Amino acid sequence: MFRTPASQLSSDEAFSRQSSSLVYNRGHGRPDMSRSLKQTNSGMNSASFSDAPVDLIARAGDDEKLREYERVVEELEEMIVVVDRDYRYLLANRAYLESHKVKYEEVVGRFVWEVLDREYFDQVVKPNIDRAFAGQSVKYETDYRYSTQGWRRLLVLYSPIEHDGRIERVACVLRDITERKRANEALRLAEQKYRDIFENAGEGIFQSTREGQFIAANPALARMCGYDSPEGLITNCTDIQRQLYADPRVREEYLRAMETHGTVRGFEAEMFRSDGQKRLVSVNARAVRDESGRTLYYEGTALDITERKNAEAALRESEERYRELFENSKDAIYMHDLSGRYVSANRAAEELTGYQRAEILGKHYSNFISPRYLREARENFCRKIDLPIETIYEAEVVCKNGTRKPVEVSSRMIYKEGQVIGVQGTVRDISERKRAEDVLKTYSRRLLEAQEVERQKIARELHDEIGQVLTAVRLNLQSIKISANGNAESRIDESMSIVDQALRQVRELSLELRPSLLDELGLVAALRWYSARYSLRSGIETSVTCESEINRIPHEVSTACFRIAQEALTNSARHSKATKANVSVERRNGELRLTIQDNGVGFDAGLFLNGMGSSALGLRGMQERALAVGGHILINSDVGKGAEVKVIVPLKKI
Amino acid sequence: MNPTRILLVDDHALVRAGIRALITMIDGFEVVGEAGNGAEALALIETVNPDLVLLDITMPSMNGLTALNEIKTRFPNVRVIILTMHEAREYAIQALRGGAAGFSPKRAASNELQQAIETVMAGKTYVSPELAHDGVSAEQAAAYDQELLNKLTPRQREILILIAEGKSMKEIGRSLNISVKTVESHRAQLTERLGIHDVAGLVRFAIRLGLVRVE
Repeated sequence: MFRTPASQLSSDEAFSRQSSSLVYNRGHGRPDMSRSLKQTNSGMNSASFSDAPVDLIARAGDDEKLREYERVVEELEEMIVVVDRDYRYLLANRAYLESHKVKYEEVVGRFVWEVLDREYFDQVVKPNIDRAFAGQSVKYETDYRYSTQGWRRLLVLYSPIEHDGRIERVACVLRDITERKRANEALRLAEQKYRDIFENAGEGIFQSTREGQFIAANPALARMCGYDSPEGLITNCTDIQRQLYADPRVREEYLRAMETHGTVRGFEAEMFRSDGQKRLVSVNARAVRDESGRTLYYEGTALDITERKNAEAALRESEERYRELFENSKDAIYMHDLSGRYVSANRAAEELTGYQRAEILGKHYSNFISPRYLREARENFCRKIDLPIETIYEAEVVCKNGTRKPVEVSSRMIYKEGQVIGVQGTVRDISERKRAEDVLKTYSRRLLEAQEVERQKIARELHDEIGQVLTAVRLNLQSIKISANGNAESRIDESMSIVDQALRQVRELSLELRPSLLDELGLVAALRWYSARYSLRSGIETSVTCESEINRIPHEVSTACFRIAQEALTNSARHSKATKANVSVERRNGELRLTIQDNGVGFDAGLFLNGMGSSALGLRGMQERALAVGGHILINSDVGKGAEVKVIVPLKKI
Repeated sequence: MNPTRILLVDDHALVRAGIRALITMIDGFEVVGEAGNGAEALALIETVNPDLVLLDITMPSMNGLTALNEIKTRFPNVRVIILTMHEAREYAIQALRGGAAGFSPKRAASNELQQAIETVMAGKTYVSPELAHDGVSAEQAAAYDQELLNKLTPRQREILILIAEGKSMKEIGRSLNISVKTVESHRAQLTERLGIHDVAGLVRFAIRLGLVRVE
C-alpha cells in the first residue's frame, strides 16, 4: 500500500509529490538502479545498458544511498518504467513486470508496442509520451486491459528526464486506481443517499446554533415554517426564539434541557409559520459538542403534529360522548367476552340488577339470568357465533335482592380485526310492558266473558221466557180453537201462525246470540248443529268428526272453541271459495284440540296475523279467545293450499 | 180401560196450564201431577206413579236430559216424551239415546200431542214429523250409539259388558286375568271415549245396544 506521512493530503497529491521527488532524485541516481536490478535478476545480460551508469555512480560517490534508493523503487506499488526516444524500455520495476506477467528480459530493450497492444500504444501511449519528450510533465487516466487482471483504471505520469539539456528518456509511473475509483463512487452514492433522505424527508431536519440561527435545514422544515426553500428559511429566520416560538419562554426551556441533558425528545412547542399561522411542533434534537464539551450546534428533527393533536382531541371528545351515551342510556348495556364473562356494564345495568359494577365485571352471565331462561340465552349465544346476526329474546334478570325482572335482550357479536372477541348487548326492563300486556289480556278476557254472559242471558231470556210465554199463548189458542164455534176458527188459526212466526224469530235470535246446545248438550253437539246450519247457508259441505265423546270440559273452553270454530268457518265462507270444510275435535294428553280445515284458496297466514284488515281482526279475535283459556292457535295456510286453524287448549290448568 | 196417567214437567206454569188444558180435552188421558224441575219430577214419580212423563229440557237445577237419565235408571218402565222449545235434531237424538220414547217441539204440541202420547203408549217411538223428515229416528240414535261402540277396542268393549253386568273392578280383573289397575285404566279410557262417566249410564248404553240382556 502506498503511504504518505501527510495523511491529510489526498493520495493524488501525495502521488504527485512522490513522483516529482523521484524525478528530482533520478537526476542523480538513475544508472545505479539498473545495476542493482541486474543484480536482483541474476544471470541477466546487461549489455543493453552500455552508457553512463558507472560514471553516474562514480559521480554520486555514495553507493549505499543509491542502493537504498533502488530498493525503494523496487518495492513501490507503482509501476515504473523508463523509456527512451525509440520507445524502448530501459528499465521496469517489479510491480510493472508482475502486472504484465513478464520477465525483466522480456521487457527491457524491447519496444513498448511489443509489450503493450500496438493500437493502445499508438492511440494512448505515443501521443502522451511524445508530449513528455517535448518537455512536459504529462498526467492522465486511462483504462487498460491486462491479460491477467482484466480492465484496470490507471493514473499515468510521464516525467521527462533531462540529460545534458536534452530529453532522451521519459520516466513513466503508473498507478492502479481502480479500487480507489470504486470506493469513491460508493462514497458518492452513499452521500447522495443521505442527501436524498435529508432533502425528501417528511420530517424537518435542521442544524441550528444556540443563539437561534439555522445552519442547515431541509425542504420539509422550510415548508413547515412556511418558506419556499431551506435557503429562504435560513436567510429570513435569524432569531428562532422570537420569530418561530409562539411563546419565547418555551425556547428557554428548550435551551435549558439541551444544556442539562444534551438532548430533547418529543419536545412540543407552538411555532409561528411565516404566514402567522400557529402550528404545534414536536422536536427531537441533540447538542453537538466538541472535545472540550463546548456546544457547537444543535441538530435534530421537527414534526408538525397539529393535525395529529387535533385528531386525538376529536377522538377523545367523541369517546367521551359515547361514554356519556353509554353511561346515561336508560337500557342496560353490557359487553362480555367469549367465555361469557362481563367486561363492561353501564350505570343502567347497575340500576337494573342492583349490583355494583365491580360485582358484575368478571362474572359469568349465568349469574344474572333466571335459570329457566339460561338455555335460551346460551342458544342465542351459539346462534350468533354461527350467523353474524343480532338476536333478540326475552329473559328474566335475577337482581341482587332476589327479585326477577322481565327483560328484552338484544345482542350482537363484536369483532376486532375480523376476529370475534365477545358479545355486546342491551337489556331493556320490560316489566311495565309486561304488566300492560297482562292488563290488556285480562281486559280482553273479561270483555269476552262479559259478552258471552250477556249473550247467554239475553238468549235465555228470549228463548225461555218470551218463547215460553208465546208457547203458552199458542197452547191456549189451540184449546180455544177446539172448544170454539166455527166462525172464530179462522181468526184463531191466523193468531196461531202469528205466534208461530214470533216463536221462530225468538228462537233464531236466541241461537244467534248463543246456542243453548253448547250449555245443554256440549261442544260436539253444538258444533254438529252449527256446521249443519252452516252447510245449508254457505253451501260449503261441512262435517264434524270426533274421536270420542267430548264432555265434561270447562264451560269457558267449550265456548272459546265454539266461537273460534264459528269465526273460522265464517272466514271460510267469506274468503275461501271452499267447497268442503271439516271440524274435528279430539281430546289427547290432557289437551283439547280443535281443528277447522277447508279446501279453499287459502291465505298468507303471516300476512293476516300481522295485518290490520278485518280478516286479520277475525284471526286476532280467535287468538285472544284461545289465550283467554290458556290455549293457543296455530294457523296453517298458504295461498292455494286451503286453510287450517288449530286450537290447542290444555284442560287441566283451567 | 184406565186412562193414561201423565206427569207434566215444565218450569213454566203458563205452559203447564196450556198443556194441561189440551190434555184434559182428550179422552183417555189424565194429568196426575205437575213438576217445575227434574228433582221435583223424580220425587213425584214415586208418589203418583205415572205411565208417562212429558218432560221439558231447559229447566233450572236439574235439566230435562239429566232428569231423563235418572228416570230411566230408577223407573225403567215409565215412558218419557220430551216436550221442548228446542228444535235442533241434536236434542232429539240426545233425548232418544237417553231413553225418551218420544220427542216433540212445544210449538207443534197442540197438533201432535195426542198422536205422540198414543204412539208411545203403544210401545213405539214418536218423533215429530219435522224432525223425522230431518232424519231423526230411534234407528239413527242407535246408529249413533253403535258408532260410539265401534270406537272401543275389543278389550274395552269386553270390560264395558262386564261393568254393565254389575261386576266389580276386582271381579273383572280376575275374570280377564289382568290387574285391577289395568282394568281401571281401560275403564277410564272407555268412559272417555263414550262420554259416559257413570255406571248407570254405561249400563243403559250396554242395554240399548243389546250388549247385555235385561232380566
